[in-house]
Amino acid sequence: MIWLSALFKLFVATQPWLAFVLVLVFDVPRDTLSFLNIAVERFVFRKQTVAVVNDADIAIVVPVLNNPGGMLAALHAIRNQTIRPRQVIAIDDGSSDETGAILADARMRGLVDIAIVNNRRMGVSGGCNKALLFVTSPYVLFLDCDTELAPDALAELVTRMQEMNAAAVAGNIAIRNEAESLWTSIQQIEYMIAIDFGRTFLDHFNAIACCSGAMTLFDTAALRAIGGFGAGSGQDLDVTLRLREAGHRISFAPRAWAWTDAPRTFAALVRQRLRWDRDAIRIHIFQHHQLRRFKRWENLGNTIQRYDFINFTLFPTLLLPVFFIGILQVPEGQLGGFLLAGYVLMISVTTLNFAAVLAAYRGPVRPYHLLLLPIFPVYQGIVMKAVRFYAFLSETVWHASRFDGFVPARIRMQLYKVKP
Amino acid sequence: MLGIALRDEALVPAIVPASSDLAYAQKVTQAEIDELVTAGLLVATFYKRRLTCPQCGSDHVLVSECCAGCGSGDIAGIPLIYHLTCAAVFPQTTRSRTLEACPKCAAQVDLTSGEFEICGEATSCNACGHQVPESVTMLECQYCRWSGDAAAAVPRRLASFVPTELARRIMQARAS
Repeated sequence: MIWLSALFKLFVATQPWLAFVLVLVFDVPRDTLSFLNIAVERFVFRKQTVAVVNDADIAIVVPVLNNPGGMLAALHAIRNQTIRPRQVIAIDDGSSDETGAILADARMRGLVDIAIVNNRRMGVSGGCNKALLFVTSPYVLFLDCDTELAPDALAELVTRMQEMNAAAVAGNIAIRNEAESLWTSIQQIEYMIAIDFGRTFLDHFNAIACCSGAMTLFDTAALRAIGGFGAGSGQDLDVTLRLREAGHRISFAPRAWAWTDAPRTFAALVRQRLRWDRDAIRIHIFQHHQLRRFKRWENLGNTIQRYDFINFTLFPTLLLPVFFIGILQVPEGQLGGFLLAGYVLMISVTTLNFAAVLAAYRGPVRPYHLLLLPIFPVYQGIVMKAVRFYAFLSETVWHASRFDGFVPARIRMQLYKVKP
Repeated sequence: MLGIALRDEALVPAIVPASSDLAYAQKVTQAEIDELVTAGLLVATFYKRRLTCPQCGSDHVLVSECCAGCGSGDIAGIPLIYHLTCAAVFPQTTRSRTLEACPKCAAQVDLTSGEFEICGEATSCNACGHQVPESVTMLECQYCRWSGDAAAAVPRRLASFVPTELARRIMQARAS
Protein backbone atom coordinates (compact mmCIF):
# COMPACT_ATOMS: atom_id res chain seq x y z
CA MET A 1 0.00 0.00 0.00
CA ILE A 2 2.90 2.32 0.75
CA TRP A 3 4.33 1.95 -2.73
CA LEU A 4 0.88 2.47 -4.20
CA SER A 5 0.51 5.67 -2.26
CA ALA A 6 4.00 6.76 -3.36
CA LEU A 7 3.14 6.00 -6.97
CA PHE A 8 -0.07 8.00 -6.72
CA LYS A 9 1.80 10.97 -5.22
CA LEU A 10 4.37 10.77 -8.00
CA PHE A 11 1.56 10.66 -10.58
CA VAL A 12 -0.18 13.77 -9.27
CA ALA A 13 2.93 15.71 -8.28
CA THR A 14 4.91 15.20 -11.50
CA GLN A 15 2.39 16.91 -13.75
CA PRO A 16 -0.85 17.76 -11.87
CA TRP A 17 -2.61 19.09 -14.98
CA LEU A 18 -1.53 16.10 -17.02
CA ALA A 19 -2.86 13.74 -14.36
CA PHE A 20 -6.18 15.60 -14.57
CA VAL A 21 -6.19 15.34 -18.37
CA LEU A 22 -5.43 11.62 -18.17
CA VAL A 23 -8.36 11.04 -15.85
CA LEU A 24 -10.62 12.94 -18.26
CA VAL A 25 -9.27 11.06 -21.26
CA PHE A 26 -10.19 7.81 -19.60
CA ASP A 27 -13.76 8.97 -18.90
CA VAL A 28 -13.24 8.04 -15.28
CA PRO A 29 -15.89 10.08 -13.46
CA ARG A 30 -18.79 9.34 -15.81
CA ASP A 31 -18.18 5.65 -16.30
CA THR A 32 -17.49 4.79 -12.69
CA LEU A 33 -20.43 6.73 -11.31
CA SER A 34 -22.86 5.34 -13.87
CA PHE A 35 -21.68 1.75 -13.41
CA LEU A 36 -21.93 1.92 -9.62
CA ASN A 37 -25.35 3.51 -9.87
CA ILE A 38 -26.73 0.82 -12.15
CA ALA A 39 -25.08 -2.06 -10.30
CA VAL A 40 -26.68 -0.93 -7.03
CA GLU A 41 -30.01 -0.34 -8.77
CA ARG A 42 -30.01 -3.81 -10.34
CA PHE A 43 -29.29 -5.48 -7.05
CA VAL A 44 -32.06 -3.54 -5.33
CA PHE A 45 -34.65 -4.21 -8.06
CA ARG A 46 -33.43 -7.68 -9.05
CA LYS A 47 -36.68 -9.44 -8.12
CA GLN A 48 -38.88 -6.97 -9.95
CA THR A 49 -40.64 -8.42 -12.96
CA VAL A 50 -42.16 -6.50 -15.80
CA ALA A 51 -45.49 -7.43 -17.36
CA VAL A 52 -44.83 -8.43 -20.94
CA VAL A 53 -47.48 -7.98 -23.60
CA ASN A 54 -48.77 -11.12 -25.31
CA ASP A 55 -50.15 -9.58 -28.42
CA ALA A 56 -49.22 -6.48 -30.38
CA ASP A 57 -49.50 -5.27 -33.94
CA ILE A 58 -45.90 -5.07 -35.16
CA ALA A 59 -44.14 -5.06 -38.50
CA ILE A 60 -40.51 -6.10 -38.86
CA VAL A 61 -38.28 -4.78 -41.61
CA VAL A 62 -35.04 -6.62 -42.43
CA PRO A 63 -32.77 -4.90 -44.97
CA VAL A 64 -30.21 -7.26 -46.47
CA LEU A 65 -27.21 -6.96 -48.77
CA ASN A 66 -25.19 -10.04 -49.76
CA ASN A 67 -25.80 -11.95 -46.54
CA PRO A 68 -28.22 -14.85 -47.16
CA GLY A 69 -27.02 -16.89 -44.15
CA GLY A 70 -27.44 -14.01 -41.72
CA MET A 71 -30.84 -13.18 -43.21
CA LEU A 72 -32.14 -16.74 -42.76
CA ALA A 73 -30.92 -16.84 -39.13
CA ALA A 74 -32.65 -13.51 -38.47
CA LEU A 75 -35.89 -14.72 -40.13
CA HIS A 76 -35.94 -17.97 -38.14
CA ALA A 77 -35.43 -16.00 -34.92
CA ILE A 78 -38.38 -13.79 -35.90
CA ARG A 79 -40.53 -16.89 -36.38
CA ASN A 80 -39.65 -18.02 -32.83
CA GLN A 81 -40.88 -14.82 -31.19
CA THR A 82 -43.36 -15.13 -28.34
CA ILE A 83 -45.58 -12.62 -30.12
CA ARG A 84 -46.12 -13.01 -33.82
CA PRO A 85 -45.49 -9.93 -35.97
CA ARG A 86 -48.23 -9.00 -38.42
CA GLN A 87 -45.82 -8.28 -41.28
CA VAL A 88 -42.28 -9.39 -41.97
CA ILE A 89 -40.80 -7.32 -44.77
CA ALA A 90 -37.38 -8.21 -46.16
CA ILE A 91 -35.68 -5.90 -48.61
CA ASP A 92 -32.82 -7.10 -50.77
CA ASP A 93 -30.87 -3.97 -51.63
CA GLY A 94 -29.28 -5.04 -54.89
CA SER A 95 -27.37 -8.12 -53.70
CA SER A 96 -24.96 -9.60 -56.21
CA ASP A 97 -24.99 -13.13 -54.71
CA GLU A 98 -27.75 -15.70 -54.12
CA THR A 99 -29.57 -13.54 -51.54
CA GLY A 100 -32.43 -12.74 -53.97
CA ALA A 101 -33.14 -16.40 -54.69
CA ILE A 102 -32.98 -17.35 -51.02
CA LEU A 103 -35.31 -14.46 -50.16
CA ALA A 104 -37.80 -15.70 -52.78
CA ASP A 105 -37.60 -19.17 -51.23
CA ALA A 106 -38.07 -17.71 -47.72
CA ARG A 107 -41.20 -15.99 -48.98
CA MET A 108 -42.55 -19.23 -50.42
CA ARG A 109 -41.94 -20.91 -47.06
CA GLY A 110 -43.85 -18.18 -45.21
CA LEU A 111 -40.85 -16.70 -43.38
CA VAL A 112 -41.43 -13.38 -45.14
CA ASP A 113 -44.74 -11.70 -45.98
CA ILE A 114 -43.42 -9.04 -48.32
CA ALA A 115 -40.16 -9.39 -50.24
CA ILE A 116 -38.84 -6.27 -51.94
CA VAL A 117 -35.98 -6.62 -54.38
CA ASN A 118 -34.05 -3.55 -55.50
CA ASN A 119 -32.27 -4.12 -58.77
CA ARG A 120 -30.11 -1.10 -57.98
CA ARG A 121 -28.70 -0.34 -54.51
CA MET A 122 -30.60 2.36 -52.63
CA GLY A 123 -28.55 2.23 -49.43
CA VAL A 124 -29.92 1.28 -46.01
CA SER A 125 -31.88 4.52 -45.54
CA GLY A 126 -33.59 4.39 -48.92
CA GLY A 127 -34.35 0.68 -48.56
CA CYS A 128 -35.84 1.12 -45.10
CA ASN A 129 -37.91 4.12 -46.25
CA LYS A 130 -39.21 2.07 -49.18
CA ALA A 131 -40.22 -0.73 -46.81
CA LEU A 132 -41.81 1.83 -44.46
CA LEU A 133 -44.27 2.71 -47.25
CA PHE A 134 -45.77 -0.78 -46.97
CA VAL A 135 -45.95 -1.02 -43.17
CA THR A 136 -49.53 -1.17 -41.89
CA SER A 137 -48.79 -1.73 -38.17
CA PRO A 138 -48.50 0.98 -35.50
CA TYR A 139 -45.05 -0.33 -34.49
CA VAL A 140 -42.18 -1.23 -36.77
CA LEU A 141 -38.94 -2.95 -35.83
CA PHE A 142 -35.90 -2.38 -38.02
CA LEU A 143 -33.53 -5.30 -37.70
CA ASP A 144 -30.09 -5.76 -39.24
CA CYS A 145 -29.83 -8.91 -41.33
CA ASP A 146 -26.98 -10.25 -39.18
CA THR A 147 -28.89 -9.75 -35.92
CA GLU A 148 -30.70 -12.59 -34.20
CA LEU A 149 -33.49 -11.80 -31.75
CA ALA A 150 -34.01 -13.60 -28.45
CA PRO A 151 -37.50 -15.22 -28.39
CA ASP A 152 -39.01 -12.59 -26.06
CA ALA A 153 -37.21 -9.56 -27.56
CA LEU A 154 -40.22 -8.28 -29.46
CA ALA A 155 -42.49 -8.54 -26.43
CA GLU A 156 -39.93 -6.72 -24.26
CA LEU A 157 -39.52 -3.93 -26.79
CA VAL A 158 -43.26 -3.35 -27.14
CA THR A 159 -43.73 -3.47 -23.38
CA ARG A 160 -41.09 -0.77 -22.94
CA MET A 161 -42.54 1.25 -25.79
CA GLN A 162 -46.00 1.29 -24.21
CA GLU A 163 -44.63 1.79 -20.69
CA MET A 164 -42.55 4.84 -21.62
CA ASN A 165 -44.85 6.15 -24.37
CA ALA A 166 -41.70 6.36 -26.49
CA ALA A 167 -41.27 6.91 -30.22
CA ALA A 168 -38.25 4.60 -30.39
CA VAL A 169 -36.95 1.84 -28.17
CA ALA A 170 -33.50 0.33 -28.61
CA GLY A 171 -32.72 -3.23 -27.61
CA ASN A 172 -29.79 -4.76 -25.77
CA ILE A 173 -27.12 -6.21 -28.06
CA ALA A 174 -24.44 -8.80 -27.38
CA ILE A 175 -21.70 -10.17 -29.60
CA ARG A 176 -22.54 -13.58 -31.09
CA ASN A 177 -18.95 -14.39 -32.09
CA GLU A 178 -17.30 -13.06 -28.93
CA ALA A 179 -15.12 -16.16 -28.49
CA GLU A 180 -13.60 -15.89 -31.98
CA SER A 181 -10.74 -13.49 -31.26
CA LEU A 182 -9.29 -11.07 -28.74
CA TRP A 183 -10.95 -8.22 -30.60
CA THR A 184 -14.43 -9.72 -30.56
CA SER A 185 -14.07 -10.46 -26.81
CA ILE A 186 -12.99 -6.93 -26.04
CA GLN A 187 -15.88 -5.58 -28.12
CA GLN A 188 -18.24 -7.68 -26.01
CA ILE A 189 -16.93 -5.87 -22.92
CA GLU A 190 -17.47 -2.57 -24.73
CA TYR A 191 -21.04 -3.55 -25.62
CA MET A 192 -21.68 -4.61 -22.02
CA ILE A 193 -20.51 -1.21 -20.83
CA ALA A 194 -21.83 1.07 -23.56
CA ILE A 195 -25.16 -0.60 -24.27
CA ASP A 196 -26.33 -2.56 -21.23
CA PHE A 197 -25.01 -0.05 -18.72
CA GLY A 198 -24.53 3.15 -20.72
CA ARG A 199 -27.99 3.21 -22.28
CA THR A 200 -29.72 2.15 -19.07
CA PHE A 201 -28.03 5.07 -17.30
CA LEU A 202 -28.85 7.57 -20.05
CA ASP A 203 -32.44 6.32 -20.20
CA HIS A 204 -32.95 7.61 -16.63
CA PHE A 205 -32.45 11.13 -18.01
CA ASN A 206 -34.12 10.58 -21.40
CA ALA A 207 -30.70 11.26 -22.94
CA ILE A 208 -30.11 8.33 -25.33
CA ALA A 209 -28.47 9.74 -28.44
CA CYS A 210 -28.51 6.72 -30.70
CA CYS A 211 -30.87 3.78 -31.06
CA SER A 212 -28.73 1.16 -32.72
CA GLY A 213 -29.53 0.30 -36.33
CA ALA A 214 -29.12 -3.37 -35.42
CA MET A 215 -32.43 -3.46 -33.55
CA THR A 216 -34.81 -0.59 -32.82
CA LEU A 217 -38.57 -0.52 -32.49
CA PHE A 218 -40.23 2.65 -33.78
CA ASP A 219 -43.65 4.17 -33.51
CA THR A 220 -44.62 4.05 -37.20
CA ALA A 221 -46.56 7.34 -37.16
CA ALA A 222 -43.74 9.23 -35.42
CA LEU A 223 -41.17 7.84 -37.82
CA ARG A 224 -43.29 8.75 -40.83
CA ALA A 225 -43.94 12.23 -39.43
CA ILE A 226 -40.21 13.03 -39.49
CA GLY A 227 -39.85 11.63 -43.01
CA GLY A 228 -38.27 8.30 -42.09
CA PHE A 229 -34.53 7.78 -42.26
CA GLY A 230 -32.16 10.44 -43.56
CA ALA A 231 -29.73 10.02 -46.44
CA GLY A 232 -26.12 9.00 -45.92
CA SER A 233 -24.43 6.80 -43.35
CA GLY A 234 -25.13 6.94 -39.60
CA GLN A 235 -28.87 6.88 -40.30
CA ASP A 236 -29.61 5.35 -36.88
CA LEU A 237 -27.99 8.25 -35.00
CA ASP A 238 -29.60 10.83 -37.28
CA VAL A 239 -33.11 9.41 -36.97
CA THR A 240 -32.82 9.21 -33.16
CA LEU A 241 -31.69 12.84 -32.92
CA ARG A 242 -34.48 13.98 -35.25
CA LEU A 243 -37.07 12.13 -33.16
CA ARG A 244 -35.61 13.79 -30.05
CA GLU A 245 -35.77 17.22 -31.69
CA ALA A 246 -39.41 16.54 -32.59
CA GLY A 247 -40.04 16.18 -28.84
CA HIS A 248 -40.34 12.40 -28.64
CA ARG A 249 -39.19 10.14 -25.83
CA ILE A 250 -36.48 7.64 -26.69
CA SER A 251 -36.05 4.60 -24.47
CA PHE A 252 -34.06 1.43 -23.96
CA ALA A 253 -35.30 -2.10 -23.22
CA PRO A 254 -32.43 -3.86 -21.39
CA ARG A 255 -34.22 -7.23 -21.42
CA ALA A 256 -34.82 -7.23 -25.17
CA TRP A 257 -31.77 -9.18 -26.33
CA ALA A 258 -30.28 -9.70 -29.75
CA TRP A 259 -26.97 -11.10 -30.94
CA THR A 260 -24.88 -9.74 -33.73
CA ASP A 261 -21.48 -10.44 -35.28
CA ALA A 262 -18.57 -8.08 -34.56
CA PRO A 263 -15.45 -7.51 -36.68
CA ARG A 264 -12.93 -10.31 -36.04
CA THR A 265 -9.69 -8.55 -36.88
CA PHE A 266 -8.19 -5.34 -35.58
CA ALA A 267 -8.12 -3.82 -39.08
CA ALA A 268 -11.83 -4.51 -39.61
CA LEU A 269 -12.61 -3.13 -36.16
CA VAL A 270 -10.70 0.10 -36.88
CA ARG A 271 -12.49 0.49 -40.23
CA GLN A 272 -15.87 0.07 -38.52
CA ARG A 273 -15.01 2.54 -35.74
CA LEU A 274 -13.64 5.12 -38.15
CA ARG A 275 -16.95 5.02 -39.97
CA TRP A 276 -19.01 5.24 -36.77
CA ASP A 277 -16.92 8.08 -35.34
CA ARG A 278 -16.90 10.07 -38.59
CA ASP A 279 -20.69 9.73 -38.67
CA ALA A 280 -20.90 10.75 -35.01
CA ILE A 281 -19.08 14.06 -35.41
CA ARG A 282 -20.72 14.86 -38.75
CA ILE A 283 -24.23 14.22 -37.46
CA HIS A 284 -23.85 15.62 -33.92
CA ILE A 285 -21.86 18.72 -34.77
CA PHE A 286 -22.37 19.61 -38.44
CA GLN A 287 -25.89 18.32 -39.12
CA HIS A 288 -27.55 18.86 -35.75
CA HIS A 289 -25.36 21.74 -34.51
CA GLN A 290 -25.03 20.24 -31.05
CA LEU A 291 -22.14 22.52 -30.10
CA ARG A 292 -24.50 25.48 -29.77
CA ARG A 293 -24.43 26.55 -26.13
CA PHE A 294 -28.14 27.08 -25.87
CA LYS A 295 -30.97 25.79 -28.00
CA ARG A 296 -34.34 27.42 -27.68
CA TRP A 297 -37.12 25.23 -26.27
CA GLU A 298 -34.70 22.41 -25.70
CA ASN A 299 -35.83 20.02 -22.99
CA LEU A 300 -33.57 18.78 -20.19
CA GLY A 301 -33.08 15.34 -21.77
CA ASN A 302 -31.84 16.87 -25.01
CA THR A 303 -29.47 19.18 -23.12
CA ILE A 304 -28.05 16.22 -21.16
CA GLN A 305 -27.73 14.22 -24.39
CA ARG A 306 -25.82 17.08 -26.09
CA TYR A 307 -23.47 17.66 -23.17
CA ASP A 308 -22.95 13.93 -22.75
CA PHE A 309 -21.50 13.87 -26.26
CA ILE A 310 -19.55 17.12 -25.89
CA ASN A 311 -18.10 16.45 -22.44
CA PHE A 312 -17.57 12.69 -22.49
CA THR A 313 -16.85 11.94 -26.15
CA LEU A 314 -15.72 15.05 -28.02
CA PHE A 315 -13.73 16.82 -25.29
CA PRO A 316 -11.75 13.79 -23.98
CA THR A 317 -10.91 12.80 -27.57
CA LEU A 318 -9.65 16.26 -28.42
CA LEU A 319 -7.55 16.17 -25.24
CA LEU A 320 -5.64 13.10 -26.41
CA PRO A 321 -2.84 15.03 -28.20
CA VAL A 322 -2.49 17.23 -25.09
CA PHE A 323 -1.86 14.06 -23.13
CA PHE A 324 0.92 12.98 -25.48
CA ILE A 325 2.47 16.47 -25.49
CA GLY A 326 2.34 16.46 -21.68
CA ILE A 327 4.15 13.12 -21.54
CA LEU A 328 7.02 14.64 -23.49
CA GLN A 329 7.35 17.28 -20.77
CA VAL A 330 7.64 14.80 -17.90
CA PRO A 331 11.25 14.81 -16.61
CA GLU A 332 13.12 11.87 -18.12
CA GLY A 333 13.90 10.19 -14.81
CA GLN A 334 10.26 10.28 -13.73
CA LEU A 335 8.61 9.14 -17.00
CA GLY A 336 8.61 5.42 -16.18
CA GLY A 337 7.21 5.99 -12.71
CA PHE A 338 4.61 8.44 -14.02
CA LEU A 339 3.34 6.03 -16.69
CA LEU A 340 3.34 3.12 -14.27
CA ALA A 341 1.45 5.17 -11.69
CA GLY A 342 -1.05 6.27 -14.35
CA TYR A 343 -1.53 2.67 -15.49
CA VAL A 344 -2.02 1.41 -11.92
CA LEU A 345 -4.57 4.14 -11.30
CA MET A 346 -6.46 3.24 -14.48
CA ILE A 347 -6.34 -0.47 -13.69
CA SER A 348 -7.75 0.26 -10.21
CA VAL A 349 -10.60 2.28 -11.66
CA THR A 350 -11.21 -0.32 -14.39
CA THR A 351 -11.28 -3.07 -11.75
CA LEU A 352 -13.97 -1.14 -9.91
CA ASN A 353 -15.89 -0.68 -13.17
CA PHE A 354 -15.44 -4.32 -14.17
CA ALA A 355 -16.63 -5.51 -10.77
CA ALA A 356 -19.81 -3.49 -11.14
CA VAL A 357 -20.33 -4.53 -14.77
CA LEU A 358 -19.59 -8.23 -14.35
CA ALA A 359 -21.69 -8.48 -11.20
CA ALA A 360 -24.75 -6.77 -12.60
CA TYR A 361 -24.60 -7.53 -16.35
CA ARG A 362 -27.90 -9.01 -17.49
CA GLY A 363 -26.32 -11.41 -19.99
CA PRO A 364 -23.86 -14.27 -19.46
CA VAL A 365 -20.44 -13.38 -18.00
CA ARG A 366 -17.47 -15.55 -19.10
CA PRO A 367 -14.37 -16.15 -16.97
CA TYR A 368 -12.09 -14.89 -19.76
CA HIS A 369 -13.68 -11.45 -19.53
CA LEU A 370 -11.51 -10.97 -16.43
CA LEU A 371 -8.37 -11.69 -18.46
CA LEU A 372 -9.11 -8.58 -20.52
CA LEU A 373 -8.82 -6.36 -17.46
CA PRO A 374 -5.10 -5.44 -17.91
CA ILE A 375 -5.49 -4.35 -21.53
CA PHE A 376 -8.96 -2.81 -21.47
CA PRO A 377 -7.94 0.65 -20.13
CA VAL A 378 -5.23 0.97 -22.80
CA TYR A 379 -7.61 -0.26 -25.50
CA GLN A 380 -10.43 2.05 -24.52
CA GLY A 381 -8.44 5.05 -23.30
CA ILE A 382 -5.63 5.17 -25.82
CA VAL A 383 -6.17 2.92 -28.87
CA MET A 384 -9.85 3.56 -29.56
CA LYS A 385 -9.49 7.21 -28.57
CA ALA A 386 -6.66 7.60 -31.10
CA VAL A 387 -8.90 5.99 -33.75
CA ARG A 388 -11.69 8.37 -32.79
CA PHE A 389 -9.35 11.36 -32.87
CA TYR A 390 -8.24 10.46 -36.38
CA ALA A 391 -11.88 9.96 -37.45
CA PHE A 392 -12.87 13.36 -36.05
CA LEU A 393 -9.89 15.01 -37.73
CA SER A 394 -10.46 13.31 -41.09
CA GLU A 395 -14.14 14.23 -41.07
CA THR A 396 -13.59 17.84 -40.01
CA VAL A 397 -10.71 18.52 -42.37
CA TRP A 398 -11.25 16.19 -45.33
CA HIS A 399 -14.96 15.26 -45.02
CA ALA A 400 -13.88 11.64 -45.19
CA SER A 401 -17.41 10.22 -44.90
CA ARG A 402 -18.08 11.46 -48.43
CA PHE A 403 -15.90 8.59 -49.63
CA ASP A 404 -17.56 5.93 -47.47
CA GLY A 405 -18.62 2.97 -49.63
CA PHE A 406 -21.41 2.18 -47.14
CA VAL A 407 -23.51 4.62 -49.19
CA PRO A 408 -23.78 3.92 -52.95
CA ALA A 409 -21.51 6.16 -55.03
CA ARG A 410 -24.29 7.82 -57.05
CA ILE A 411 -26.07 8.82 -53.83
CA ARG A 412 -22.87 10.30 -52.35
CA MET A 413 -22.36 12.18 -55.59
CA GLN A 414 -25.81 13.75 -55.31
CA LEU A 415 -25.58 14.25 -51.55
CA TYR A 416 -22.26 16.06 -51.47
CA LYS A 417 -22.23 17.31 -55.07
CA VAL A 418 -18.70 15.96 -55.47
CA LYS A 419 -17.21 13.09 -57.41
CA PRO A 420 -16.57 10.35 -54.85
CA MET B 1 -60.32 -43.07 -86.65
CA LEU B 2 -57.19 -44.10 -88.52
CA GLY B 3 -57.66 -41.05 -90.73
CA ILE B 4 -57.02 -38.81 -87.75
CA ALA B 5 -53.53 -40.26 -87.31
CA LEU B 6 -52.88 -40.01 -91.05
CA ARG B 7 -53.63 -36.27 -91.43
CA ASP B 8 -50.05 -35.22 -90.64
CA GLU B 9 -51.17 -32.57 -88.18
CA ALA B 10 -50.76 -32.28 -84.40
CA LEU B 11 -53.73 -32.92 -82.13
CA VAL B 12 -53.73 -29.98 -79.71
CA PRO B 13 -56.02 -29.88 -76.67
CA ALA B 14 -58.31 -26.86 -76.36
CA ILE B 15 -60.84 -25.56 -73.84
CA VAL B 16 -64.52 -26.15 -74.61
CA PRO B 17 -66.77 -23.50 -73.03
CA ALA B 18 -69.58 -25.81 -71.88
CA SER B 19 -67.43 -28.62 -70.50
CA SER B 20 -64.73 -29.09 -67.89
CA ASP B 21 -62.89 -31.46 -70.25
CA LEU B 22 -60.48 -30.52 -73.00
CA ALA B 23 -61.34 -31.21 -76.61
CA TYR B 24 -59.55 -31.44 -79.96
CA ALA B 25 -60.36 -29.56 -83.12
CA GLN B 26 -60.32 -32.90 -85.01
CA LYS B 27 -63.47 -34.02 -83.05
CA VAL B 28 -61.71 -36.96 -81.52
CA THR B 29 -62.05 -38.18 -77.95
CA GLN B 30 -59.23 -38.80 -75.50
CA ALA B 31 -60.04 -42.53 -75.49
CA GLU B 32 -59.61 -42.69 -79.28
CA ILE B 33 -56.29 -40.88 -79.08
CA ASP B 34 -55.10 -43.30 -76.41
CA GLU B 35 -55.97 -46.20 -78.72
CA LEU B 36 -53.96 -44.68 -81.59
CA VAL B 37 -51.03 -44.15 -79.22
CA THR B 38 -51.23 -47.82 -78.21
CA ALA B 39 -51.28 -48.80 -81.88
CA GLY B 40 -48.05 -46.87 -82.38
CA LEU B 41 -49.57 -44.31 -84.80
CA LEU B 42 -49.48 -41.25 -82.50
CA VAL B 43 -46.88 -40.11 -79.99
CA ALA B 44 -47.38 -37.66 -77.13
CA THR B 45 -45.17 -34.57 -76.93
CA PHE B 46 -45.12 -31.81 -74.32
CA TYR B 47 -47.54 -29.04 -75.16
CA LYS B 48 -48.16 -26.79 -72.12
CA ARG B 49 -48.15 -26.68 -68.34
CA ARG B 50 -51.43 -25.18 -67.19
CA LEU B 51 -52.96 -24.29 -63.84
CA THR B 52 -56.17 -26.13 -63.13
CA CYS B 53 -58.91 -25.67 -60.59
CA PRO B 54 -58.00 -27.48 -57.34
CA GLN B 55 -61.67 -28.29 -56.81
CA CYS B 56 -62.90 -29.72 -60.13
CA GLY B 57 -59.68 -30.10 -62.09
CA SER B 58 -61.00 -27.92 -64.90
CA ASP B 59 -58.75 -25.81 -67.09
CA HIS B 60 -61.42 -23.12 -67.22
CA VAL B 61 -59.67 -20.71 -64.87
CA LEU B 62 -59.41 -16.96 -65.20
CA VAL B 63 -56.41 -15.16 -63.78
CA SER B 64 -56.88 -11.78 -62.12
CA GLU B 65 -54.71 -9.42 -60.07
CA CYS B 66 -56.10 -8.27 -56.74
CA CYS B 67 -55.20 -6.19 -53.71
CA ALA B 68 -53.44 -8.29 -51.07
CA GLY B 69 -55.35 -6.46 -48.33
CA CYS B 70 -58.99 -6.55 -49.41
CA GLY B 71 -59.03 -8.74 -52.54
CA SER B 72 -60.43 -5.98 -54.72
CA GLY B 73 -59.45 -5.90 -58.35
CA ASP B 74 -59.60 -2.10 -58.38
CA ILE B 75 -55.82 -1.65 -58.25
CA ALA B 76 -53.24 0.38 -60.09
CA GLY B 77 -49.48 0.27 -60.35
CA ILE B 78 -47.77 3.48 -59.23
CA PRO B 79 -44.08 4.21 -59.80
CA LEU B 80 -42.08 5.00 -56.64
CA ILE B 81 -39.74 7.96 -56.66
CA TYR B 82 -36.53 7.93 -54.61
CA HIS B 83 -35.01 11.27 -53.65
CA LEU B 84 -31.32 10.51 -53.32
CA THR B 85 -30.40 13.54 -51.19
CA CYS B 86 -33.00 13.08 -48.45
CA ALA B 87 -33.73 9.33 -48.85
CA ALA B 88 -37.49 9.93 -49.20
CA VAL B 89 -39.42 7.29 -51.12
CA PHE B 90 -42.88 8.31 -52.30
CA PRO B 91 -45.42 7.34 -54.97
CA GLN B 92 -45.50 9.38 -58.14
CA THR B 93 -48.79 11.23 -58.15
CA THR B 94 -48.59 12.84 -61.55
CA ARG B 95 -47.33 11.60 -64.89
CA SER B 96 -45.38 14.82 -65.37
CA ARG B 97 -41.64 14.41 -64.84
CA THR B 98 -41.19 17.83 -63.18
CA LEU B 99 -44.39 19.01 -61.50
CA GLU B 100 -44.18 17.22 -58.15
CA ALA B 101 -42.46 18.20 -54.89
CA CYS B 102 -40.68 15.84 -52.51
CA PRO B 103 -43.01 15.38 -49.49
CA LYS B 104 -40.03 15.33 -47.12
CA CYS B 105 -37.86 18.26 -48.20
CA ALA B 106 -40.15 20.04 -50.72
CA ALA B 107 -37.52 19.91 -53.48
CA GLN B 108 -39.03 19.96 -56.94
CA VAL B 109 -39.03 16.53 -58.52
CA ASP B 110 -37.00 16.36 -61.70
CA LEU B 111 -36.43 12.84 -62.90
CA THR B 112 -33.87 14.04 -65.42
CA SER B 113 -31.60 15.72 -62.85
CA GLY B 114 -30.07 12.57 -61.34
CA GLU B 115 -31.26 13.66 -57.89
CA PHE B 116 -34.47 11.64 -58.25
CA GLU B 117 -34.95 8.20 -59.67
CA ILE B 118 -37.70 5.62 -60.07
CA CYS B 119 -36.93 2.86 -57.57
CA GLY B 120 -39.73 0.41 -58.30
CA GLU B 121 -43.48 0.25 -58.32
CA ALA B 122 -46.17 -0.08 -55.71
CA THR B 123 -49.63 -1.45 -56.21
CA SER B 124 -52.23 0.90 -54.84
CA CYS B 125 -55.77 -0.26 -54.08
CA ASN B 126 -58.54 2.22 -54.85
CA ALA B 127 -60.96 0.26 -52.67
CA CYS B 128 -59.06 0.09 -49.35
CA GLY B 129 -56.22 2.55 -49.95
CA HIS B 130 -53.45 0.05 -49.14
CA GLN B 131 -50.14 0.13 -50.91
CA VAL B 132 -48.26 -3.10 -51.41
CA PRO B 133 -45.13 -3.86 -53.42
CA GLU B 134 -47.04 -6.25 -55.64
CA SER B 135 -50.58 -7.47 -56.20
CA VAL B 136 -51.83 -10.98 -55.48
CA THR B 137 -52.65 -13.28 -58.39
CA MET B 138 -56.07 -14.89 -57.97
CA LEU B 139 -57.77 -17.64 -59.96
CA GLU B 140 -61.46 -18.07 -60.63
CA CYS B 141 -62.83 -21.34 -62.04
CA GLN B 142 -65.42 -20.66 -64.73
CA TYR B 143 -66.82 -24.15 -64.40
CA CYS B 144 -67.33 -24.73 -60.66
CA ARG B 145 -66.98 -21.05 -59.52
CA TRP B 146 -64.11 -21.78 -57.14
CA SER B 147 -61.88 -18.76 -56.54
CA GLY B 148 -58.67 -18.41 -54.55
CA ASP B 149 -54.94 -17.74 -54.50
CA ALA B 150 -53.07 -18.87 -57.59
CA ALA B 151 -50.67 -20.78 -55.33
CA ALA B 152 -53.50 -23.24 -54.56
CA ALA B 153 -54.03 -24.16 -58.22
CA VAL B 154 -52.87 -27.58 -59.40
CA PRO B 155 -50.40 -27.52 -62.31
CA ARG B 156 -51.16 -30.00 -65.09
CA ARG B 157 -48.93 -31.07 -67.98
CA LEU B 158 -50.77 -31.14 -71.28
CA ALA B 159 -49.64 -33.18 -74.26
CA SER B 160 -50.25 -32.74 -77.95
CA PHE B 161 -50.11 -35.76 -80.28
CA VAL B 162 -48.24 -36.07 -83.55
CA PRO B 163 -48.08 -38.94 -86.08
CA THR B 164 -45.29 -41.46 -85.59
CA GLU B 165 -42.82 -42.63 -88.26
CA LEU B 166 -45.04 -45.66 -88.83
CA ALA B 167 -48.06 -43.39 -89.54
CA ARG B 168 -45.95 -41.32 -91.95
CA ARG B 169 -44.83 -44.41 -93.84
CA ILE B 170 -48.46 -45.52 -94.18
CA MET B 171 -49.33 -42.04 -95.47
CA GLN B 172 -46.53 -42.19 -98.02
CA ALA B 173 -47.59 -45.67 -99.18
CA ARG B 174 -51.17 -44.45 -99.56
CA ALA B 175 -50.06 -41.42 -101.55
CA SER B 176 -47.95 -43.48 -103.94
